[in-house]
Amino acid sequence: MAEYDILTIIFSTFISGYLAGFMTVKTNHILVIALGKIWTSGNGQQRYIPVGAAISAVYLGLLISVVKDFEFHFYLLLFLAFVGLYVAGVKHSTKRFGDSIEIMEKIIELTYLLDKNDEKQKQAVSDAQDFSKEILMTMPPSIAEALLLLFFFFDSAFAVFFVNLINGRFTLQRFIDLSKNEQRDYIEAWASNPFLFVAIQAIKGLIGFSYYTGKNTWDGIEYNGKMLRNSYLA
Amino acid sequence: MPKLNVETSYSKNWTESPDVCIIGTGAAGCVLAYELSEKGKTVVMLERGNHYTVDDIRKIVREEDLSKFWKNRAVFLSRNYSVNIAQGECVGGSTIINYGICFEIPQAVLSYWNVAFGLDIASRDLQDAYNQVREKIGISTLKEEDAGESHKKLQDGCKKLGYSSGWMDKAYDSAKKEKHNAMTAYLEKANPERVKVFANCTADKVVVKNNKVQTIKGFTYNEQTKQSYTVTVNPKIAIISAGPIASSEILLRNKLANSNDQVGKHLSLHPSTSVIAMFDDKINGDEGMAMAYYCDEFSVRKTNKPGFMIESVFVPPSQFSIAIPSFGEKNYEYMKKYNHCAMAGILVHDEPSGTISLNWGDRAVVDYNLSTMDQYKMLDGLKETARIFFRAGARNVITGHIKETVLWNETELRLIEMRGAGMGSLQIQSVHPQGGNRMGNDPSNSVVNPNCRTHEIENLYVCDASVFPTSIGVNPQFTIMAIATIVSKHINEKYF
Repeated sequence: MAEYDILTIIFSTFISGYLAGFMTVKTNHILVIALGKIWTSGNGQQRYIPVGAAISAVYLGLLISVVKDFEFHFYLLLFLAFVGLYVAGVKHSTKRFGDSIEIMEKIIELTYLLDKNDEKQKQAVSDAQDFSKEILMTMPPSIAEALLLLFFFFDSAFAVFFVNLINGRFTLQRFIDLSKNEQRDYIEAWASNPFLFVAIQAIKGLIGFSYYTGKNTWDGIEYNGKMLRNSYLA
Repeated sequence: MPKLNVETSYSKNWTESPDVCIIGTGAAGCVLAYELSEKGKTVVMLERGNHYTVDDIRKIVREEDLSKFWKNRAVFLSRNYSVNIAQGECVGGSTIINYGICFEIPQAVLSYWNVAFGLDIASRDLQDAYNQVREKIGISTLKEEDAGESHKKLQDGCKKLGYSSGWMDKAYDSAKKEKHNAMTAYLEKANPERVKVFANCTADKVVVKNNKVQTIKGFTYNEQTKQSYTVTVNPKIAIISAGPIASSEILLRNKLANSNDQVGKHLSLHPSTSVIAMFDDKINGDEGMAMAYYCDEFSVRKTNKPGFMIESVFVPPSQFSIAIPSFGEKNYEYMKKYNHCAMAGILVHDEPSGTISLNWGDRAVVDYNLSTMDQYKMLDGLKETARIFFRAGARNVITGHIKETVLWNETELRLIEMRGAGMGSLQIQSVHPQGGNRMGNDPSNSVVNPNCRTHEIENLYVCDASVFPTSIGVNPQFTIMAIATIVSKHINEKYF
C-alpha cells in the first residue's frame, strides 16, 4: 500500500464520483437538445442508473487494475463512496437544473414588476409565471430542455462572470444572488451583446408572450382585447 | 341542422369499418369528409387535437386558452431554431386559427407544375372546385371600412407608389362580421350519421397488407381515468390529411410510400417576417381585422416568377411584443405605442429546400435554411414594405431583425441589407408549410399521383398542402380546399 498515496486515491474517488454524476446530467441535457430526443431530463433520470452503473464499473475496474494490493473491504468502501458521490453529483446537478424555472420566474418579475405596490401588475406577473410554465410543459421536450438549459446558463456564476467582465465589471455570483440593479444591468448586457442577443430573444419570446397574454397587462397599453376576438372569429 | 358527431373523451375501445378514414380534420379533411359523405360514403376522421365549437371560442376569455388550438402551443421550431412553424391542432385545423384569407393559385405556378411535374390539373376542374368552395365557405372581398385603419396605411403607401395591391378575399360573413372556417362550413353540415370524428385521438399505426391499407390505429388517453384506449379503423380507403409535416411524419413512421425516399423532401415554408410602422396619430389597429390588404407588385401573381407578397396584418399584444425588438422596460416603451402602429408581413415564395425526418422518438423534425436567393427576396421585401410605410407617413419603421433595427426615413433602407437575412438575423415565422409529399406523374420523384393517391399503396391517399410540389406564393387554404374537392370527386367516381 505504501506505493500509493491513500489520500490521493480517496480524494480522486470523491472528486471523480461527484463530477461523473454532475456531468452525466449535463451531458444528458446536451444530448436531449442535440439529438432532439423526446425524453425530457425528468424521464432521463432513469438513464442515470445504467449510466452510473457503467461508470462505477469502469471506476472499479480501473481501481483494481491500478491499485493491486488493497484489502477487499477497502475496494468495497471506495466503490461505495464513488457510487454515493455519483448520486450526489446527479442530485445536485438535477436540482440546479430544476432552479431554471425559478430563474425564469425571477426574470419575469424583474422585467415586468416595475411597481411592487401595483396589485394589478403583481397579478399580471403571477399570471405570466404560471403561463410560461404551462407553455414549457407543452413544448416539444427538446426545445423546452434547450430553454431550461439556457435559463440555467443565464443564471450560472460562470455566465455572470464572463458577461459582466466584457462590460468591465467583476462579479462572481449567480444571477439570482445579484441585487435588483445588478440583475437589470446583467439582462441589459445580454440584450446588447451581438453574440448573446439571439439567446435573450428566446427568453424574451417566452416571457413576453406569457406576460402580454394576461388580461391584467392590457390597460397599460390601452388594449381592449378586441384584436384577440378578431383574430379567431372576425 | 346536422350536428357534428364527435367523440372527445373515451372510456372504451372503438372499432369502426367505414368506407373512408381520414386522418386530420383541417382544410382538406373537412372538405373530403363532407363531399364524400354527400355521395353516401361513411367517413371516420381521426384528429389529434380537441374539438371546440365557435361558441366555445367565443366563451374563452383567457388568451392562453386559445393557444390550445395550436400544435405545441404554437411553438414548433426547425432543428436549427431559426424558423417557428405555426399550425392548428384541433377539429378544423389551421382554418380555426388562421385569418381565412383566400387566393387562387397563381397561373404561373400552375403552369410550372404542369411543365416540371406533369400535373395537368385542368383549369376548368380547378375553377369549378374553387367556385364550389367559394360558395360553401362564403368568400367575400373585404371592404375598406371593415378592415381598420392600420390596413389602410399599407393601401395608402401602395397607392402613392403605384404598386399593384388590393383588399383580400376572405372566408367571411360581412353582415355578421364573422370568419368562416372549414369546420363550420363543411364538417358541421355533413350528415352526422355518415361522418364520425374522433378528436383527441392520435393516428399512429397504419397497417398495410397486400399493398392496401387494412387498419389504422388511433390512440387516445383519458386524463381523468388515466386509461389509454384505441380507435381501430378498417377502411376501404385511407386519406392522410394531417397537414404538411404531420402527414409526412405518419408516412415516415409507418414506412409507407417511401421506397423512392421522397417522403419528407421538398418542404417549403413561405417564411415570413414582419415590419412595424409607427405613426404619430393613434390608428387603433386592434379595432380592425387581423389581416386585410395585400401588395402583389413583387409576387408571382404580377411578375410570373417567385418573389414575395406583402400583407397587412395586426396581432394581439402577446405576439406584438415578440415582433418588437428590445427587452424589458425598453420593450414596454414600444408596447405603449401599440395603438399607433401598423404592421405588415413579408411572405417569401421560397424554394422547396426543407426536409422532414424523424428523430429518435419517431417525431418529425424539420431542417430548413433560407437559401441565398430567398434571403435576397426577404431583404427586398423588407425594404419595399418599409418604403410603402414611409410613403404612408410613418414616423419610423422597425424591421423584424433580431437586432433592433429602426429606420427613420427612406435613405436608411440600406441598413436592412447590412443586417442581412441569414440565420440568426431575422425573426422568421411560417404559417404556410407546403410540400413534403410531392405530387407528380413520375413515381421515381414524387409520393402521390395527380389524384393524390400514393404511387405505392392502392387505397392510400394524401391530401393537404403537403402534396404541393412547390410553394404557391400566396395563402394556400383556398387551393388546399379546391384540390380536396377535386380529390373527393375522383374518389366518388372511382370507388364503390
